[in-house]
Amino acid sequence: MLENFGVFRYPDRMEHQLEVIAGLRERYENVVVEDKGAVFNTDLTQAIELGYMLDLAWCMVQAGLAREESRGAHSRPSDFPERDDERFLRHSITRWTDDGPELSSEEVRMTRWQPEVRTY
Amino acid sequence: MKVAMKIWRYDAVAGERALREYEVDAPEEATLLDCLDLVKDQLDGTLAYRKSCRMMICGSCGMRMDGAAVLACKTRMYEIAQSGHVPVISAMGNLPIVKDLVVDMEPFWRKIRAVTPWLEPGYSDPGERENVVSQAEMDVIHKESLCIMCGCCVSECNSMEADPDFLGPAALAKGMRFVGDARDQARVERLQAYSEAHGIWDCTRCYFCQERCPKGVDPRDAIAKLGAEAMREGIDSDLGARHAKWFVTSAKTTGWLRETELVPKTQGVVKSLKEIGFAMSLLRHGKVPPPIPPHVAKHVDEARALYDLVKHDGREGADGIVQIEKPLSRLEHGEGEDGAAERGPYGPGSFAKPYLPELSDESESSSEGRHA
Repeated sequence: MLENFGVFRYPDRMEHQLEVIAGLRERYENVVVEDKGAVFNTDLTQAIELGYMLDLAWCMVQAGLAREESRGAHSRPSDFPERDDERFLRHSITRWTDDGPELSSEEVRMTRWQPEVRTY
Repeated sequence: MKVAMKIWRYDAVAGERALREYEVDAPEEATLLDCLDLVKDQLDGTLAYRKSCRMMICGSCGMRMDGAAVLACKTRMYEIAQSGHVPVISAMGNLPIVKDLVVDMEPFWRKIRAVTPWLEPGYSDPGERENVVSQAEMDVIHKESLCIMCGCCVSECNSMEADPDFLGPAALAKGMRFVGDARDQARVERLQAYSEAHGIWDCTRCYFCQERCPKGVDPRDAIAKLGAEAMREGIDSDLGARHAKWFVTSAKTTGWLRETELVPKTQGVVKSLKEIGFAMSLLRHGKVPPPIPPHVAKHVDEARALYDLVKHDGREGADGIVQIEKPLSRLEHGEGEDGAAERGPYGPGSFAKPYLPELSDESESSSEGRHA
C-alpha cells in the first residue's frame, strides 16, 4: 500500500495493488499464531488486526480507482489531475458483502466552506 | 548489520524467567524497537513488548537495556552492534511484569491520578473568549510538559524501590506542571497534598530519573521546584522540609552545617535526646565538630551574600532552582551548525539561569558584604 497507494496514485499501480491484496488475502487464510498464551498475546492481536487491514486496503483501492479525479490526499497526476465536483463531490461509502467491498456514494452536506483549489 | 541481544523472557502464568539470546540482520539505522520487531517477526512470535508510534512521542516502549531505562524507539543499535557488545534487554523496574518486556502500568497511573493531573482554573464556565496564556508563562513549565508518561523515570527511582507508595518522579513532575501553570487556582492545595508522606520530601535526590528521562523532563528538578514553592507558602512541617530549612539557616549563620543542632531542629528535642549516645560516639571519633564554641567558617560572609543575592533577585521558590543542563544537551542534534551547541533547545529565557557573579553588574552592587 505504501508503494502503490500513497498520495499520488496511478491506474496501473492501483490495479496491481488489487492483485497484491488478493494474494495476501489468500495467504491470510493460513495465518499462524505462534503465541498460544493467554497473557498479553500481541501475536494474536496483530494477526486479527492484519485481517482487518487487508479488508480495509481492498475498500480503499476500490474507492481510489473509482474516484476519477484529484482531491486532497487522493492525487491522480497522470490521468485525472483536476478536481471534478460534477461527478465526485460525494462521499465514498463502502459496505462489506460476502463477495467483498461494495462501493456506493452519498451526497455531501455543504455548510460554510466550499471546496477550493490549493494555491500555495 | 548483525545485531545480537539477550532478552529476559517472563512467563507470568508459569512464573518462569529465562534469558534468551537472539540475533537479527537489521539495517544500520535500526533502533532497538526495530530489532525487537525483527525478532518477533522472524525468530519468536511469542515475544511480548509494547509499542505504538515508533518516534518517541507515545511513551509505550519503555524498557531496560543493560539495566538502564530507555525508549526502545530512541535507542539506535549501530554502535552497540559494531562494538560486539550483546546488550541485555529487560522489563522496566518498579512495576510488576505482565509478560516479557511488558509491565503493568496501573501503579504508575494510580500515582498520576493522585496528583490531580488536570487544570483547576477556578471557574466552571470558561466564557465565550479564549483565555490566552503568554509564552513566558508557559515556558516556566515547558520541561514538565514534555513528559510522555513512558515510566522510564519511575523504573529507575531508588526511593520507590524502598517505598512503593512514593508518588515518584513522573507524578510529581506532573504536579509541578500544574503548580507552575499560571491559570491554576489550586496551587496551595496541591503543594499541601504533595508535601504529605510519600510526597516531595521522600525523594532521595539520586538524580536517576533526571539522568534517564528520554525526553528531558528533569523530574528531580521539578521535585526541587515543588519543595521550594512549598517552602515559600510556608508548608514546611515535613521532616524533609525542616531538614532542608535548617541547612539554609546553618549555612547562612556560620557557613557550616551544624550537625549537633540539625537533629533537634529537624526531628524535635525529644527524639534527638535518644540520639545523644550516638552523637557522643561521633564526637569521640572526630566525625562531628564539638558544638561549643560554634564553628564559624572563615568566609561566612560569602555564604550570607549568596543568601542575600537569591533574596534580592526574587529567586525564591521554583525560580531559585538551578537546573542541570545534561538532559538538555542530550536533546541537541545539530552540533555542526554554528552556535547550535550553545543555543538552548527551548529558546532564550526559558529557564532560570545559574548564578554567575562575573556576568552581572547588578548583582555585584546588590550584595553588600560579599567582598568583606
